[in-house]
Amino acid sequence: MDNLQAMEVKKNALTEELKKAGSAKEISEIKSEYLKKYVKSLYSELKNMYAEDKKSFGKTINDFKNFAEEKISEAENKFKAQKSSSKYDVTIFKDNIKIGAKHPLIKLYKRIEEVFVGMGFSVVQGPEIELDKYNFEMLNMPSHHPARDMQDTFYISAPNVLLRSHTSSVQIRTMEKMKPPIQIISPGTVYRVDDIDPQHTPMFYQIEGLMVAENISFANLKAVLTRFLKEVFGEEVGVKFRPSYYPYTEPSAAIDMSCTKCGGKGCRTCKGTGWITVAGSGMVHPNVLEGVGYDSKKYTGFAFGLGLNRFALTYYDLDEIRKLYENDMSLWNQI
Amino acid sequence: MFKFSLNWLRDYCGKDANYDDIMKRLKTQGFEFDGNQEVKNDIITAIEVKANRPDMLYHMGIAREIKAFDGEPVPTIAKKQFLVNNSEFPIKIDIDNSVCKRFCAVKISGVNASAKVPDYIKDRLEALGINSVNAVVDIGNYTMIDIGQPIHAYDAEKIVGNRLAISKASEEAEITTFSGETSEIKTGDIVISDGENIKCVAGIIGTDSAAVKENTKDIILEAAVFDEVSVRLTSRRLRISTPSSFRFERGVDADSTFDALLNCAEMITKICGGKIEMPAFDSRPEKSEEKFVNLSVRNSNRLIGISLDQKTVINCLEKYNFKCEPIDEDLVKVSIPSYRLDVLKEVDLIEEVARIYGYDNIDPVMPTIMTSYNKNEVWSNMDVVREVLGGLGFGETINYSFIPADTMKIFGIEDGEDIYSDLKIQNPIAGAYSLMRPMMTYSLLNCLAYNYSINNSNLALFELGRVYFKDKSFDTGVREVDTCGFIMSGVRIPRGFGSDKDIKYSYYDLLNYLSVIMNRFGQSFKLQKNEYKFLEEGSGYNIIINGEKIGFIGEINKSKLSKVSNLKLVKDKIFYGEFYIGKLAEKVKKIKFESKYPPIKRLYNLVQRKDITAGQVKTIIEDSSDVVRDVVVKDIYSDKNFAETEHAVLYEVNYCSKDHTLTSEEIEKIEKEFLDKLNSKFAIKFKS
Repeated sequence: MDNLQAMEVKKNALTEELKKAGSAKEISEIKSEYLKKYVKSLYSELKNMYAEDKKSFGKTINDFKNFAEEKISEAENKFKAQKSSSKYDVTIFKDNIKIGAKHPLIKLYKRIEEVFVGMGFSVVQGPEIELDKYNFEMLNMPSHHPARDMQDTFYISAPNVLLRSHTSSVQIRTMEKMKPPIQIISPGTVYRVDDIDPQHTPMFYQIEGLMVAENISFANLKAVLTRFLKEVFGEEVGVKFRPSYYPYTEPSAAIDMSCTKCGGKGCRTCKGTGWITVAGSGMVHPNVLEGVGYDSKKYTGFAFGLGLNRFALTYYDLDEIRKLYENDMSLWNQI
Repeated sequence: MFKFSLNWLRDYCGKDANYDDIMKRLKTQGFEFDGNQEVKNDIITAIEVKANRPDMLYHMGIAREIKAFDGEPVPTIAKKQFLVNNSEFPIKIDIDNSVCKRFCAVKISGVNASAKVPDYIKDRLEALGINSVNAVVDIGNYTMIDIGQPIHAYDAEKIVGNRLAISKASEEAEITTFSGETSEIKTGDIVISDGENIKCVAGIIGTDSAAVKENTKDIILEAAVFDEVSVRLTSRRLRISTPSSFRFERGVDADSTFDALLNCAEMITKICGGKIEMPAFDSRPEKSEEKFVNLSVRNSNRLIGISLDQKTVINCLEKYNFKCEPIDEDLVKVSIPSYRLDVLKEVDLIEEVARIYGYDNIDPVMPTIMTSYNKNEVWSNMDVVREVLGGLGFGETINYSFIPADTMKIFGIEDGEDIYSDLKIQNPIAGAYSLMRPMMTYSLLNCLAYNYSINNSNLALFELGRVYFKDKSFDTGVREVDTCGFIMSGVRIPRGFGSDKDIKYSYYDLLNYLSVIMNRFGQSFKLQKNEYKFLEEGSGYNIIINGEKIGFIGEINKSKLSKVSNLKLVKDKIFYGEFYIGKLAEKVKKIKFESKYPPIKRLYNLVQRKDITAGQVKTIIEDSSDVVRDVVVKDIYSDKNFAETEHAVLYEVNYCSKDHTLTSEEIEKIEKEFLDKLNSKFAIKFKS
């Protein structure tokens, strides 16, 4: 066997040994075996050669050396701690420190509250168990008014004590107590008779607002509510007011917003129309103003209301309204 | 909601009227699209019609709105001349004017009720979901959907005694309706009776006893306007709602009743043969008068926030068939079309001006009047609690305010206890949602158990909501209290990363969380034992601030509450607290710079009887010297080497003097003093 063949065998043996090596120490032994001992033996052979063979054999030794060094250094790297590595493994995230998830309705509500408070609105609360007088009568909905059908009501003691079906009752209580100018929002839970199923709950969260002073106009209503929607959903959102009817406001307007899901192109959420109805609004009806003792010739105002639950479905892309009251913490933790 | 047929509408708007144009006009004017479907060469479209616009519940009304939008003349009901003589009408009719605004009738003799109903009538009615009965009934229905006047037909031969009376029922009776169902009539329901029995529940549904059948020959055709509230009350009580009652409840144009009746009668004779007998009957106690409302253009501009001149305002209104006559530069006398039952006041006209001018054309203007912001203390306290508990890892929930009817019984809360309530909803959706909750315990337990049932375990949850108590000092008879409830169970810190065991929520965590919240408000509180049976014995305490109870804490007695569904899935102890937000007025705490000399901490591991509280020990240590700053319990511990009645408590005492650096000797002196005292008083000694 000539030297060249022997070197090829050695190369293979080296590769095999490196593969099997299980520690830095073993590799260092292999290194000394091949790079020191064996290469040294090759050089000593070189000395005894004829001058014409020396050159090519010397190159062959060099090739072997290079090959061995490369392979060994590869193997060494496998066991060498990286110098640049950090003291800590920053890819580990323990999960036992957690901030508690806010309820999605509250999280959304707070965004809305922020906008109105920024415009000078104060937050007012009122009773959830209400008198018919504040929930209907003084809102221009005398008994037997067909509009009461829209708000199927829970009673604590019929016909006078009920669970409020909207927070408009808070507006009446506030106006009874205060003189204009008034600028309030009244958030809170309201109740309507509805069985619990994926798309219905007998309870939901509502925000109503009221602004009464001298010379408040429908143009003001449009400005305030447009600003609200743009601040919550972004400047690019389209806002439209269309005629509607509520007994306690006149003129009344339903407020549509371009669908945030499809950007107005039309999808399932907006039933293909590109628009979703987000709120009801209007100029406070003179009967309502007179009912609380305001001079409706002097003072005018606007009111608006929106139910947060449906809003939240769109906002969070949630499919069932019922889930908002099931409080499945694995869902809350996602937002 | 009203469903209309495109073909039918084209009778008025022209057969080439474009569907999309029609829908666009309706939508702009506030009649929202509510779905459509194609039926036999026709499109049936549902639009939303609010309670103020009963004139949009028939095809001619919709056509009017579309024509007016385009500035074209609006369609009207064909006027009919016909002899009226009530005393010579073949049927004697008595009317209670309080329930009936107008009552018109004609007799048609010799009709063929089994005549074939023309296809266009049958198809249109069926497309709108109204079943074909016979020619007479179908034509009546067609008239209602076409021009808005509900029509009722009686078989003349079945009217006993040739008399009809429209009144409130004076006695109870059972009727069989036209469609074959029985109903109980109660006194006060509005009915139309002959000499024998009830022929019709006025404005709602006919009875079988005078119904027009295939073999009917002579009919009495009625067109009336009944009182809205009377129809509504009767309809609600009977739980019968018909297209006719739906319209009467919202209002029917009494000026068109007679013309509508004759239009219908002529259509019947055309299709079924027969002859309209002279004279007709027409009773209307309140005579028809043209309605006028004055509109101030200035008021209109002020409310809408625009500046239209009088001419523009008049143009808007006249387009929609409101005849206008200027009184002066500002005022306009406006004549209201009889079908616009909703326009009664100036503001109703202002709404029309805004609507007709176009909401889109009104430029938004930011209001300049701004009030100052009034802070709502309770509301902002809720935000503080929300932030604190959220920061501590509690997840926020909202639960139904109504809880199961038998909650008090299950929880063992008895009448007279401060969280007892029997405040129930009269018409709950189910028994499980009927008691207005007087505490949040049930809600949060139920919520915790639900989460366990869907594999969310080891939880800390809270809710900010209301609890309700009967209280006569409130106008509603109910005191509502904004409350925070919080609950926790399972593992707080899982094992790993230095901890070799899961650390579970404990009663001491409950106390810790409570004091963190109270400290946040700068409130000092006391705990006073309570006797709630749903809490483990010896764990229930009331939270007291300024001598007043503001809530309670405790460990839930799970075995007692086995009826709460899924609660058995929660294997660990459950700790619960609730407190009333309104009682947490925030107090500002001062920052005290105590001393420039270094504080010294010492630990004392003391063995004490379990019935001696750490608080008692702390008081003795704190009272032993001015230089004792505070005493903190770091651990409690016991094992089998302890007597049953004893455990070890590890106290950390902080010493600091205001005027010098404390020496070991000084501290040892103080230590000796309180240790001697603890030993002599409670036999407390160092743990060896």
